[in-house]
Amino acid sequence: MKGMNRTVVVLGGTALIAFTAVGGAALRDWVDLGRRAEAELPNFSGVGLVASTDANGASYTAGDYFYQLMRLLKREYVEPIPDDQKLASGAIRSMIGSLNDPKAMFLDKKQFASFQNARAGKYEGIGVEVVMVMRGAANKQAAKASDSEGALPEGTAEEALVSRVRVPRLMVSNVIPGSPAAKAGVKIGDVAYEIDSHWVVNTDLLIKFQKAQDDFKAKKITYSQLNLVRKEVRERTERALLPMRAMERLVTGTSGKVKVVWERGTEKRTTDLTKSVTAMSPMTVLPNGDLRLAFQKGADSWIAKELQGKTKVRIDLRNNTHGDFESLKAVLEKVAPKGTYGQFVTARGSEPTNLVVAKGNAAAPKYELLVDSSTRGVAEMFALALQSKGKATLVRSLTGGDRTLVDIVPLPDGSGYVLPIGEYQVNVTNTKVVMADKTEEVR
Amino acid sequence: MKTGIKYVAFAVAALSAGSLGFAWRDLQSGSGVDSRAVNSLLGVRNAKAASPEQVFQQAYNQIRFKYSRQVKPDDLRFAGMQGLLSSLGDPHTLYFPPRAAQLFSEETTGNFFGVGARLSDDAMGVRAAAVFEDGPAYAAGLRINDVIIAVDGKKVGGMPTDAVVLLIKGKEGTFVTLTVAKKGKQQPVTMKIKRARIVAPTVESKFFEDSKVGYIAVSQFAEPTTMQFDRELDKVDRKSPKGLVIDMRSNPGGLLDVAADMLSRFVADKVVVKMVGRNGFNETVRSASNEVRPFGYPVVVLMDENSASAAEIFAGVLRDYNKATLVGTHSYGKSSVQNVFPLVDKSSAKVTIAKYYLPSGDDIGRKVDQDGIYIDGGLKPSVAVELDLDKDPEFGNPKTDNQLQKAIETVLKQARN
Repeated sequence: MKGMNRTVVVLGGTALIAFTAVGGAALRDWVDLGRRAEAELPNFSGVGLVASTDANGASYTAGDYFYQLMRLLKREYVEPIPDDQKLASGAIRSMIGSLNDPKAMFLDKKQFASFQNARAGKYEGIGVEVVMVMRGAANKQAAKASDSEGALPEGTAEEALVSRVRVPRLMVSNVIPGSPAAKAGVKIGDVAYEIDSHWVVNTDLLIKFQKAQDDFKAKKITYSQLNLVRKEVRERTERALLPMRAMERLVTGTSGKVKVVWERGTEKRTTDLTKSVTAMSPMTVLPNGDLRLAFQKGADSWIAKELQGKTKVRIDLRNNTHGDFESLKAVLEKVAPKGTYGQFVTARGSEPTNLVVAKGNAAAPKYELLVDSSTRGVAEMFALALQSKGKATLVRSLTGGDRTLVDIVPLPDGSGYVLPIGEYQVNVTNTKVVMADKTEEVR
Repeated sequence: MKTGIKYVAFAVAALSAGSLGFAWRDLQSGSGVDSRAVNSLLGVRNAKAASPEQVFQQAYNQIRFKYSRQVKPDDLRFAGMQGLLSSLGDPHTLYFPPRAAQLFSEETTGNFFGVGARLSDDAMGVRAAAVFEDGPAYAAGLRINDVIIAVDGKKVGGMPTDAVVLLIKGKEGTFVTLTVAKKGKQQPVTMKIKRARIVAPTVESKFFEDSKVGYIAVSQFAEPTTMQFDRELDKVDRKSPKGLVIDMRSNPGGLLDVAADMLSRFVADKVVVKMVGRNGFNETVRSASNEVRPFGYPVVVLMDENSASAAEIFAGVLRDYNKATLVGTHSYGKSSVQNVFPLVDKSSAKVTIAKYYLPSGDDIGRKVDQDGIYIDGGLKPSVAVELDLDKDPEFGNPKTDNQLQKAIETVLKQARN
């Protein structure tokens, strides 16, 4: 009886020790990897890197992999690794790149700093904002949004080529009033073609080359004609800038010159620009009484104050491309009656999320919103939300067509990334926009 | 009393087990316990709030669960690992996802077999750019400049050359039927060829009668290369050349020992290369002491951006000891040694573990920016000349190959002096 007891104790003790070992490993995972997303938990293997429940290694979390590879590099790589955070940023840069989505961007330290400055109304570089526009089927919406870029007809040979080589074009989405670019006559829709005699890579040239090769094979052109195209490709690619580098040259820096060749339709324009800082006061009452509203912290209390005692308010939403979604929600609570103002959808099959104004402002005035194609993102959502309920009239021209909700995530080394997380959809009963030269009002 | 000791012993055992579990990850990777992890557990604050793996895991989760489109978790993770390794800015430190790792090992162990010909583009099909004399295609009657118009009865006109190569290659001992158009013959010829393991010649030579210059092209540094190099040198020497052009263009490198052997024909008992790794690892490779050949004529080494590794060592050593003039464009700039580490899920990581230095002490390492675009590095030629693609050049033909023209010109000028 006594011996029996003893065995139980020993067995129990051994089990407890083993359990503690596993617990220790789990604790280490917790320390190394931090809190996991709930959905990651079923895959979580408590014993760390060594255990494998199947041949594919599906039981390892991405963090385990990262950790393992980082340790390997630190031990084996020919040179010491000065900054671990750079490894994480490099991995994130590559993950964002693998999405092949022009709206998903990784920004390095310098780029992210100027991006954040622009959000606060301080525009560096030549005073423009640019977007990546992909030609081809996958991004018809973006193509539609611009005036100069038409989506290619479906099923063409070009489209088949483009789907193989996806390089976006760099298009101006906003020109800040008073900026060097504005003074030089740069317009929304202009595409950066050449910067400081560096060709900005896009697929057009590749398509041209592929076509020339096919034509040569089909004996439609001569060898020397093919060689002319070949020469052009070679000369341009020797001094080429990838779109992110090209973007950096336009939107970062506060001094120095930059020479840009722009494509506007079939026309090419050359501008010599001097970089500087162009400030735009984010929340202000303009001389004519219009309000300029930036969707950032504090915007809700500012607008609430400005609305007091008014029955009709004009808000200028032009040159408004950066905004925080949280600020949009807070502003809507102050300017719109309660209700549901459209929804966010994703292509991942998740349930749409409604844009809801919970309490709202029952005594909200009528709005006239000045919009054009530099009204993008959160500002565009704001305009469409109010219009959908008949609360606002849109004046000027069509909005930018960018209704993507993005997450902006700063990283410890100063870099950061932008990730699309949903598309805004709303039923607009009256889609009319009052053009600038007309005085009549719809509704 | 005794029971007390038992409890203490038990507590110690349990505690050690817990610590072992905690430290298992470090012990597994052969290093001490990561102090940062211990500090983190004990609540010691780090200067940086989040560890790199936490930062990575958060971004990974964010993209996986919040991005507006569905992503395949494995693809995302592989992209992350690729980025982790490429963030070092070293083009040779690479991550191979499981499928790629498998292909890589198949390629290096040579599970594919062919017929012994090198193919190039042709409007009608593919053209035989070279046919190896000891291969089965040569035995079946395939000759240089023949055009293959069908493979196993399937027309290949308009197909990319790579795709045709895949059709021709197959298991050892199986047969492939080629339909071949020969110049001057009305009817195409059909040949049935048995696939075999192909050993491509790595050294080929020519002698240009009009300029009296010898030409030796080395395509890679493999086991038989030294022997082939000696043989071709003998061939050239019998013609009493005025000069010699050694073509290292498109030579990706290979075995360092072979390069050192070949250099022994030029310099006796000299430093060929120094290798330096982490933790004081240091090794010097020297040329042999009694293998020098008398070269009674000047030598030019032709190189381009595809000349890498052992090819650059060969060219760089000859330059450093004034044994040859370099002509062409800058070379690739591979100055490092890699090791492949297999990982738990059959993926693998190729990591640079040491660096080469030339006798002059030069580090020729290639520098690239974050997008992988060349900034600097490689050997610089004394006589720079770009390949003129407008002439539709064929390497080794001085009529269309302007770099070779320049090399011949350079070596003749030295012969006169």
